[in-house]
Amino acid sequence: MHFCKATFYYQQALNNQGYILNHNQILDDSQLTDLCKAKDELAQKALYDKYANKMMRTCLRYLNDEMEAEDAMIDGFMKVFSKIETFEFRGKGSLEGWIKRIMVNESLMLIRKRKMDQVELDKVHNLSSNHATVESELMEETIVNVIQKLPNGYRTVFNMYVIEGYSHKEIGEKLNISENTSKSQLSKARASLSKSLTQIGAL
Amino acid sequence: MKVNGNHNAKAAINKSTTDLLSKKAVEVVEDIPVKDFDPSKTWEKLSSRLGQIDKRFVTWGLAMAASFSLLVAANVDVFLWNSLDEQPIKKNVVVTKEDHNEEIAHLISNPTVLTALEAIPLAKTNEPIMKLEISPLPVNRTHTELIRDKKEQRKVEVTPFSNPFVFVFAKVNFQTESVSPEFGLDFKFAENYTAKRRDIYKLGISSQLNFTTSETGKKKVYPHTFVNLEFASLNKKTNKGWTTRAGYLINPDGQLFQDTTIKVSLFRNVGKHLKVGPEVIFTDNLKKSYPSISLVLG
Repeated sequence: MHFCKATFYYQQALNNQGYILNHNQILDDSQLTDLCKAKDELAQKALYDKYANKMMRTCLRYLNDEMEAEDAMIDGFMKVFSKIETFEFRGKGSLEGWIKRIMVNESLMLIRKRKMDQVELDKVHNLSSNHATVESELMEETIVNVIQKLPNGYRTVFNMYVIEGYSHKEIGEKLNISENTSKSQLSKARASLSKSLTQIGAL
Repeated sequence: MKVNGNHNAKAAINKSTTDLLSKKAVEVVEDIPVKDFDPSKTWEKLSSRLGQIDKRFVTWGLAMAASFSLLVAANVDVFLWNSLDEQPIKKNVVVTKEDHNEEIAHLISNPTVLTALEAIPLAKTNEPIMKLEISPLPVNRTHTELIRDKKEQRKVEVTPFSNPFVFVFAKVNFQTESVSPEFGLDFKFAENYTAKRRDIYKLGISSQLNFTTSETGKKKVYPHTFVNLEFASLNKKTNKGWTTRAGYLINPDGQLFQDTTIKVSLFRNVGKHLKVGPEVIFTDNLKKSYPSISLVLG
């Protein structure tokens, strides 16, 4: 069955975004999942092309280092392709959410390997130095840069709680810290971010 | 109080605005290509890693094929271990004095045998009465047979100072992309033996040398020290048999092998001093595996 599907999709060309075209329609996540489960190489490439940029952004938000983010992303996609058989498609966005969770976990694993301190106050960047580039960037991009430049502990907890929607309990379990530490880190992250956003005129 | 209340409300609004702004910014930015990020180059790296997995499967298949061919080459005697140990043992039949008396009683009670004896008139002969000798009859005497039991025959001997006690070996591991030598020392700590086979238990230490080449072309050697436990079951006469070995890495380098690393090997003893077989190293808390084929001299 997979073979027939694959043969059919092989006849379609790849568009410039890398998705497999199916009568001028982009292959949806459900079809991509089925084909990836059948170890279809073209589908794997299409899945990668579809989510590579987003996942690179996700890893960068946690690691703030392109090389490390790339490593985390590669490890993450390896896991995606090896564990996709266990994934159950549950509608639009479920595949993306699943892949993102894997990427976050891979990034956290790298952070753990680095054995970074929870808070590195001495490494707090001088955010005012970015003012010159504000006009040349989108405001959203500047805000993301500001988040990325938060100290590691603040950034990780802020990303997990605010962006990914983890609870303090989950954060505590994943980072091996107490719920109160997670709450305190989040509060400090918000305060630091709020100050920076005011400085760049976003607030 | 009023001032504090206003301050708290302002802080709460500020907090939620910060969260909302951040979340929205992240959503918008996700679709903007990352600067200096070339997805096609990263895909090349990813696909090569995916290919390596395939290669590992091929290597693993190769190792399995090698093991199977070794089995065939060894005349499949691995399947005959039990039969070798359970080969019919020559039964020593010992007839005791009581059995002999029983035998005579049996003859007396059997009239057909007695008739023959009675046919010889005692008066007709001057010869002294000869002692009656009766050869054992083919009667089922399982209760009298002393069969050497296999379990009794098996002896366990702890021979810490037997000779040879120390074994030295050299090994070459053929991996997917490299060849790594290994040298080691084993100490025999126990030996069991049966009629045909002897089982040897060894504990030892070995050093495996792995070579890597950096991007600048510099070669680096990583010595890895393993503590090994070995079990060998060999034919007494031919010295052919099987050896299994498990090793634990005591100095993970963090590059090639990290966290808990063990290796498991199965060798075919093709001669007194030559073994060959597959070996798998499980590293990174047993998440990654590197199979190889090994040749052992020693």
